[in-house]
Amino acid sequence: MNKKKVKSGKLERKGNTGAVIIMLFFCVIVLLPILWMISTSIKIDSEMVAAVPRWIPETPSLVAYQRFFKDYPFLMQLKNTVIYTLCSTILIVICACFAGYGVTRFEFRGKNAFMSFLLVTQMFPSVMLLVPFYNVIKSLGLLNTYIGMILVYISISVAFATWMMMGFFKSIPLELDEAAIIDGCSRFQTFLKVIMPLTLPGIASVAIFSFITGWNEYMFTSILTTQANMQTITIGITSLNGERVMWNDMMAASVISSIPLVIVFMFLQKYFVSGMTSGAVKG
Amino acid sequence: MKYRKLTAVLMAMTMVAALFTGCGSKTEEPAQTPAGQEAQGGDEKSDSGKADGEPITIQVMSGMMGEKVEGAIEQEIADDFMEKNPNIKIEFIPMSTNDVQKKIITLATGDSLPDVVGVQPTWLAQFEEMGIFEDLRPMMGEEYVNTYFEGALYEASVGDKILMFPWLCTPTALLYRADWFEEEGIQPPSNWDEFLEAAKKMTKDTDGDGKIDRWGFSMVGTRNNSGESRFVAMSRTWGVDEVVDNNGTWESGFTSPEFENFLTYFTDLNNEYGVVPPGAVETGYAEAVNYFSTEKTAMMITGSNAIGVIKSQNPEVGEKMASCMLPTGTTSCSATGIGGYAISATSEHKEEALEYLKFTLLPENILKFAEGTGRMPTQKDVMQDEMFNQEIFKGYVAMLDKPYKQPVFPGYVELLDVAGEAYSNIMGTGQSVEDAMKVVKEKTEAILAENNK
Amino acid sequence: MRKSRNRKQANISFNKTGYYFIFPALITMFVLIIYPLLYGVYISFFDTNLVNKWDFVGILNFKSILTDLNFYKIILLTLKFSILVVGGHFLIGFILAHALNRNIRGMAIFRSILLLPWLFPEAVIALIFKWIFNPLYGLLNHVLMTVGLTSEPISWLGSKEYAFMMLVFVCIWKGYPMVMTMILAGLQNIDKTLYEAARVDGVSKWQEFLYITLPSLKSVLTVTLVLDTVWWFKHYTMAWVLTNGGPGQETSLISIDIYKTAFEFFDFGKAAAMSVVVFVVCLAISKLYRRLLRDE
Repeated sequence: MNKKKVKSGKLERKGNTGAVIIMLFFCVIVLLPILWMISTSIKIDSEMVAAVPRWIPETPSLVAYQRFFKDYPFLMQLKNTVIYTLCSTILIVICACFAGYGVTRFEFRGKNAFMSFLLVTQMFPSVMLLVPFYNVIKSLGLLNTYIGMILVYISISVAFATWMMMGFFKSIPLELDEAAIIDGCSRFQTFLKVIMPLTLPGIASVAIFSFITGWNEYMFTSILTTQANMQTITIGITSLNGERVMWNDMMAASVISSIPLVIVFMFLQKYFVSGMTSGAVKG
Repeated sequence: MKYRKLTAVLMAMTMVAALFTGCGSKTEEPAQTPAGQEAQGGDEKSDSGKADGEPITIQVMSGMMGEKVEGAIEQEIADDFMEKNPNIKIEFIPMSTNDVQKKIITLATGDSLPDVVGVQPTWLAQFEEMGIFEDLRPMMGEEYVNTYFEGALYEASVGDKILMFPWLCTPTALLYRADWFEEEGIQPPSNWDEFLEAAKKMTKDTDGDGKIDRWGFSMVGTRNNSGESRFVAMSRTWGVDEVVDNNGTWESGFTSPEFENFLTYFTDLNNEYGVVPPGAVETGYAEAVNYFSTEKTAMMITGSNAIGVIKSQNPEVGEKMASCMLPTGTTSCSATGIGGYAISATSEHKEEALEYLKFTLLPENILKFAEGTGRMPTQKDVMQDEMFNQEIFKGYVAMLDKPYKQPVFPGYVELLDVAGEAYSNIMGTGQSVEDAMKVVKEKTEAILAENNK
Repeated sequence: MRKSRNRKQANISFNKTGYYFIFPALITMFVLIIYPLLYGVYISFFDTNLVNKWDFVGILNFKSILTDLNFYKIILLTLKFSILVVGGHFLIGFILAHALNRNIRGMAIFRSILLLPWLFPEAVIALIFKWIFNPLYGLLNHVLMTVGLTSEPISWLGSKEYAFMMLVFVCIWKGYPMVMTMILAGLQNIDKTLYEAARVDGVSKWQEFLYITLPSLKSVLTVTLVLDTVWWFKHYTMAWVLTNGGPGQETSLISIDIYKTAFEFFDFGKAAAMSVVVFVVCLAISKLYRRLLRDE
């Protein structure tokens, strides 16, 4: 693994220092607003809007976090969000892997049309899709059901996921397929056991994309659900932006709601560093 | 190998999700949701039982449930109602105030509006055209109808039809810092010249560091409904009617010299006199209220609902403020600014729904709002309550007697946007009033022509 | 090379198998998207409120849009907006993906921090920035005035000079992690032996980037570029919360206009017609990209 490093150690290390400086710089820009969110989330109501901004509140308090669990239906919304997002992400990854593999490994009529169709679906302003979307879900009898919402989430992300997976599969040499088939694997086995493991960074990134997109989806969910117990945490958070903005509650909820995403990312990002290296050895 | 681990984890996650889903369908007890909703086949309306005694469910789509104080009161009233009427269940459908039209339209296209829908008068004309709301006049009866303020009834009606049940109102008046006015030894302004003078006096450097840190007027200058409706509330007192029905032809005051005068006055508050805090164009309602409650501004033109917000943000300021009538130009008037509920035409429980709405209007219920949120009752008798003798309500109560009757015009919101574009351009991009007026005239005429066809 | 192998591939595989593989994706998209798209196009020929008024007006809606000079202005503004935003995403995304694509201890922390903007709902991000930019009690002016860079509070979102750039900044801030992640995944997917071979040949870093990295990333880049552009071209939330399209028309993106026309003016036919135009523009953009990047 580290052979390369030894070879050009000095150059690499110099590059690393530069990289760290760049990353630190961007981290600061990223963190400032987020620290402000956190700082707001530990303020008490009377300190929320102060004429002079303060980083550290006079009386720090976790009252907003307490309210998260007590006053709002956030826990139930969190549960819904997890269900919608997790199920849709898994299904999206499966759909996208299949389609990506199929498109790069086979010639068939309508292939390009299919890929273009996927892209095209992303191009119509979504606010105008609300009404017909509602009616489709309604006529399928899936309003206010988990399945209905999962379908909606899939349709939002699957196009991008499929295109991405196609890109990743493309970069894997076809010899590997051929070798596997000669070794007696079936098509499906080749796909599952030989090729898919090689695209783990791709799968991980697509999963991250679908997960985050689903987690933060607002418009469709807010219009298509007409029961309080089907709503998601993003709707709950956004609804705090009413006539009086409950800044501290909103920020506390945002912070809590982002934690599962960070965990999912921490888990998936390991697969970024694997990918081709391990695959090539095996191949 | 890593791959196998991933598969395993994915499997595990699927199982967890399945578990969750399983739980979900089992644990849909009322306890789970704040509003006590019952899991039920979505929008198919509670068609269970029409005979007496059999339990029915009334779905109420409320924009107020999202507001902390208002939502709690509304829930309390509904709980009370359910206790007294055990066979009727009130089920709230949450709706963000920002999504009202989207949600109503979407549900209306699917014929699946809930029984009771929270609405503002702004889009009533369009909803009437769609025929999605029931005319409440025959159901309410003349006697009940007459308990309302004239302005409230007017705003709730399209033609002879009463399309929404007036609930609360937030007339527009001038909120000011009584203590500062006393310090300066001036009276609250009664006309727009005095308003400008007062604003100039209030704008000053209070800590002596050479920088202005207090301003006279908390202007809402954003180009959206909130800013625009305040703008026209002021322009009406200058004798500018946004739209009038002149024997079947729509005409608009936006093309008049009075409007140009007012536009100049309004934008000069920022451009010329600097009596509004910097960044007027980006100052929305929330920011303008914040300025007032953090003691940065002395006056604000707003509905009475701001009282509740300011009190909760800074109780001290809440004690020091008072309200007076909008300054007078050529006339004095204010929209009543009602909010209320419509009953959808497709509802199967219209009578029960109305019964519930009437229950919420009982004085002991509706007055809960006034104290906590500044939202006022729409019925004359209830307004007699001594609560409204407070200084803080004075201006608002007075404005209720001068209702502005704005005709129902389908292109109204579009027209408002024309005004918004004009002041936003003049204050934000330095466009001259003359240039802005050209655009105003052009667009206004196009909108009028469209609707005069 | 690859082309010829593709052909060989075609020989050993039979046609139908391909359909099995795309079937799951195809069916969901077909069920859910086809009808809404057609519906959108359909209502653009009507004067309608979607409930009980359906007056066929032919191409009248399109005519009134396309003869309105202002509409072109807004389209151009939106184009400018999406080019700047997407450009920013890719510039920062590339730099950071490169920086992150190393084996340094603690890299996971950098990766997670740099991902953060992506994790919060758009509305929340827009609100927090609106607060930070507030002229009176916002953080930015407070810092600038404490440091002494400015003596008067600056109206970041309410002035002609800054509003558009601030909107672009926030949108770049919010959107770059997605691009970064995709590029990072693409980089990780590149066969490392290619670099080793290149190094043996004594190729410079820049050439390495030009001849190995970019081509290997091409398909990932193309789709990210196309969709990122399309998404930001249709973008709505941030602009609406931050500026309401103001001051004047300075940040009035096309989606704001569509939204207003549809759900405030209740002119759904016209809004649908505008959407169709947006659709066509997006289609043209993607065609252009794919031609430029020669993605077969």
